Amino acid sequence: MDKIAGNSSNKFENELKKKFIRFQPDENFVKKLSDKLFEQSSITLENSKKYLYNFFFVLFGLFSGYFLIRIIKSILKPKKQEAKNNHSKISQPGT
Amino acid sequence: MTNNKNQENSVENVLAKAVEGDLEAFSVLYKENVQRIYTYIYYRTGNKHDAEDLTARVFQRALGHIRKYEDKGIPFSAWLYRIAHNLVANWHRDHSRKKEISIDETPMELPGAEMPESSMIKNQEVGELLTNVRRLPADRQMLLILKFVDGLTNMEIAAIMGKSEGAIKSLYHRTLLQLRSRIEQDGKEEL
Repeated sequence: MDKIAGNSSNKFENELKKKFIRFQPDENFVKKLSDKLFEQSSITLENSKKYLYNFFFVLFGLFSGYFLIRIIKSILKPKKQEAKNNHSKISQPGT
Repeated sequence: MTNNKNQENSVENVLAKAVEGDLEAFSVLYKENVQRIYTYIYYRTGNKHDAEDLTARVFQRALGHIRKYEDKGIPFSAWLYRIAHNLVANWHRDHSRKKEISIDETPMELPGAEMPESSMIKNQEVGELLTNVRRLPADRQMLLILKFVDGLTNMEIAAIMGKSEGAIKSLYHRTLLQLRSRIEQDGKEEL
C-alpha cells in the first residue's frame, strides 16, 4: 500500500517538475532596469563626491578665516596694550 | 574540482566587491539573479506587470542595502529571495481584495527548455498550476518554487527560509499532499 502511495507521489513530483518552468523576463525590462540601477547610482556617487569636495572647501575657508582673525588680533593686541600703558602714565603725574 | 573552487572564489570576490560599493560587481550579481527573482515573483503574483515592478524594487532595495550585507555562507540569492518574499507579502496585503489573478498573459519559456507538444495546452496547464500554487500559504509557495524552478536541495532551501532541513522535508511532503488534493478537487469540479 505504502509502495503504491510512494509511486504515485513520485509520479506527481515528476509531473510538477515538467510543469514548473522558469519565466524569461522581457529583455527590454532587464536592460532598462540595469540602466536605471547603475546610472542612478553612479550619478549619486559622483554627486556625493562633489558634495564632499564642497564641504572640505567650506571647512578650509572657515579655518583659514579663523586663523587670519587670530593673527590680525595678535598683531593689533600689543599695539593696544602699548597705547593703554602710555595713557596710564600720563594720567598719573605724581608718580 | 579546481574549476569549482575558482568559481566559488570568483563569486566570493564579486560579492565582496559589491559589498564595498563596486557597481560593476553588483551588475554581475544582478545579471546572475534577475531571472530567478522575476520567476519567483511571477509565480507569486501571476502577472507580468507586477512581476516587473516588484523585481525592480527588489534590486533597488538590494543595491541600497548592499553595504549592510553580511556573508554568512548562504548564497547571495537567499538574501534577494528574502527581500522578494517581503515585498510580495506587502503586495498581497495591498491587493488582498483581489482574490483571483488573471493568468491570461502567456509566459515566455527559456530558450532550450523542453518544448511542449502544444504550447496552448502547456500554457493552460501552467496557468492551472499557477492558480493552485497561489492558493497555498506563502511559505509553501516559496518552497515549491525553490524546489522545482531553481532545483535547490532541501538544505539550500532550509538556509534560504531560515528553517532546519528536517522541517523543510516535512513541509515539502505536506505541501505536495495539499497541492495534489487541490488539483484533484479542481478536476472533479470541472467534470
